Amino acid sequence: MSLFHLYLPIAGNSVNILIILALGGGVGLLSGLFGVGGGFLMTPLLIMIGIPPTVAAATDSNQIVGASTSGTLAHFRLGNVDFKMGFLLLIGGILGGTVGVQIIKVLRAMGNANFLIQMCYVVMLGVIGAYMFAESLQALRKARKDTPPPEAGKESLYSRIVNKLPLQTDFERSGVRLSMLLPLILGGFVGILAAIMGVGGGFIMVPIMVYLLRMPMHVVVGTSLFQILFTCADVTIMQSWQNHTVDFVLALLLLIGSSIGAQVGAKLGRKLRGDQLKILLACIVLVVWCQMLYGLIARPDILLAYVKGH
Amino acid sequence: MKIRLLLLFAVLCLSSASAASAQDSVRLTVKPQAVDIGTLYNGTTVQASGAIPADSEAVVRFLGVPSKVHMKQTAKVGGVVWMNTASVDFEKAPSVCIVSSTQDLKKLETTPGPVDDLSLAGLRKSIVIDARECKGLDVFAEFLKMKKKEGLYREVSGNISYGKISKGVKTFQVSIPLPSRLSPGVYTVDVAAVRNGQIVARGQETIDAKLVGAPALMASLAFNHSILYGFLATLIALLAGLGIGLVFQSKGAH
Repeated sequence: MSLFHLYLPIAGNSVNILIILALGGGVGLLSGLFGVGGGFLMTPLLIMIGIPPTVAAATDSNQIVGASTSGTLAHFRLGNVDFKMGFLLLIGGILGGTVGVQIIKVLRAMGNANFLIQMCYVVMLGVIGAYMFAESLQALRKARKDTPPPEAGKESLYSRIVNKLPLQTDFERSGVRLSMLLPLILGGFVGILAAIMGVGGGFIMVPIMVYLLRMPMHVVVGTSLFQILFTCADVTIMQSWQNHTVDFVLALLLLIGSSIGAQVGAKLGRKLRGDQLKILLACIVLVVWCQMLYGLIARPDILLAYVKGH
Repeated sequence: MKIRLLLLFAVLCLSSASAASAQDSVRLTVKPQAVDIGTLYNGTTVQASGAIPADSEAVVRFLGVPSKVHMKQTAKVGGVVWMNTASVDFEKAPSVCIVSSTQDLKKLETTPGPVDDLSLAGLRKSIVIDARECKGLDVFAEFLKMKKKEGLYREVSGNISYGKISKGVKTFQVSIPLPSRLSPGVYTVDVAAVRNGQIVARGQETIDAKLVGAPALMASLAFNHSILYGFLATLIALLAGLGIGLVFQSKGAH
């Protein structure tokens, strides 16, 4: 027995409380700073310390509920949550998630699900990370040179299509005018990917909000956290009910760390410019991408794996 | 007179046989007989003691209930990526297997035989493997690697101590280290007395591991009232997040 160890009845293992608090704090910091739930980081970290994969993924959703509540509250106080946009993305996300679950069922039956999941991760992380990094680097260089912003040139094809969509409405908090269909469609797309990849989808949602919905970075963070809160609450209840894989004790420890981390992240985020935030997130996404790519092409130590569900 | 002598001889033979039989037996006591998995459980030790024939060595095994494990082989696909491919089933694989001995098991056996069966490698004979879809892989060796990494299969040497020898038997004592990843269930402590590469006597005791206190309550709620558990987990996470948010607000308000 040890004072710093706690037995987790659902995970069926004992963990060091200090390690769990530190993990939660680190990932919560990223959550508050960038508006990502952190599922794509936390789940592999939990597996590394001996938590079964299915329990790690489900419990992570539970802790994200707490972390994103804390983060949303912090951003709401700063006026950084666009509720109108958030609700539309959420509706799209739930519909997309339902479609995604069906897709994964079909792929599992065909035996190709794991390959698709891993390839989705590698492609999405690689494309998003590289684009964000290049774009942010360019913006930072321009800011250093103090060059005036480029004059509005010819409208892009994407802008022309978006402007022609029906149900155009003002999103005051984000300062953009868009069709209500666009967040519904994009939310649906993220929902499908999130269901296939087994994550909250924050790391896909944030770039979509920035580049396709053209929302300011600080509003993106708060709105993303608001949307993630509901997605993960839904996942927590479903996983508890269907699979019994949510370890609440572990989630509580993680969220104590991550909620505090999220608050620190939100405050730290105010001191950084949007471009700086973007390039930092791009670096993290690229590091995770490298790790996943290495995992795909490097020979594993053990050539057997437990069969796990998503 | 002849009949008396014959009877005396028969009595002597019988008493000598019964003495040998008493010597070739194992006496085993296990403490504690139940392991409580409470909030602060992080592995524990079980003390096993008893007596074995004086000229033998003890091999003590702590075994979990044999069960079926379904796994996938990880193989290179398209010459580029490593993926889970073929299915592998392991039947009758003990959930835990901790082997304790005075010295390396290989030194106790003269030829590969019964003693080898007591080691982790010996599980190859008792675990039924269905790896029809796998090609060119020693799946049992990989299975052992996996279980050792999880801390559930272990070979410990030098943790058995012997006491005095009396009437052809010697006492022994062993501390068996139990893993932190212990599931509730019935476990077996199996002691084998080994002489000249042969098992001459065996003894077994069972240990019941059960959840107690908060872990028992949580497990009962999670498995028997899962929807309620899910809603409670979500609600408490929400409240905790709000609470921490409010604490930061009050600290930040100047």
